[in-house]
Amino acid sequence: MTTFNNKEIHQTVYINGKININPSITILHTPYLLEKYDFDKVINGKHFFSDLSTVLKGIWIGLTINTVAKFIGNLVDKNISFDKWEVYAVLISLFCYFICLIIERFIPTERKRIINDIKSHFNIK
Amino acid sequence: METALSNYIQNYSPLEELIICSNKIIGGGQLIKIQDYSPLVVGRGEIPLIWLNVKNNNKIIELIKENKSFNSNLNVEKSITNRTTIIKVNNSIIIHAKMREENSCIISKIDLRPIGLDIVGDSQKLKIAGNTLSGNTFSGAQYLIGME
Repeated sequence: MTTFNNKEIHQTVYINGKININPSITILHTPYLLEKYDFDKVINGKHFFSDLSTVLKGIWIGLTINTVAKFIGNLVDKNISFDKWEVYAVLISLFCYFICLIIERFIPTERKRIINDIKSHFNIK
Repeated sequence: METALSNYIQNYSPLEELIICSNKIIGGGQLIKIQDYSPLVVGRGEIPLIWLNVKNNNKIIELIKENKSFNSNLNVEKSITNRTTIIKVNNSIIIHAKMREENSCIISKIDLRPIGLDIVGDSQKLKIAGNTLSGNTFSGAQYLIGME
């Protein structure tokens, strides 16, 4: 260890030693500075197909519940009719839902860019 | 080659004179450079403008930028009347900086151990990683102390 007392120094002094110690406060990341525009995009910037896929998911769940209920009802009481078109409706809504999900996944949006920026900033995979 | 502070610190105006714990730095220099970054930068302003950085996982993390704290544990107290900037961790002062004149600032207390750097000093002396500096005058380069 070195001592420098009352000296005139004219160039950077390189010293040895262990400068890094355990901090007593939590230091993780620099905060991500979110602009109002970015915040608005994150909240409201969903693509049309994203909203459509949510609607189709709801339709699919509703049709599935209806079909399963009718199927069980048909097993208990043969008067309750169980039609094939109801199964087709479930399959078609599921198919449309997946198509929307795939389209939404591959269309670039500002919202996705901002979310990726935030993930990258915080090293989130 | 020295990295220019202005490359990663915005709105920074160098001080003509910076006194850190009895050590005088003349001509716009700063206290220390660790590898490629400077943990403490003091700039000119109505009150001392302070930048505090640490390195974590090879990334420079700004804890304080131009007197604005980005860490909830660090509290910056500014007094225009006294021309001081005081940084505290849990009510303990880790930096006490005061403008003496328009272009001169004095740091009379420093203790960066809470943020993980072994830099401690009072009005008499400064200790950096066990090395002691007292009453020195430095000019002619960007940093008084360098560490690899």
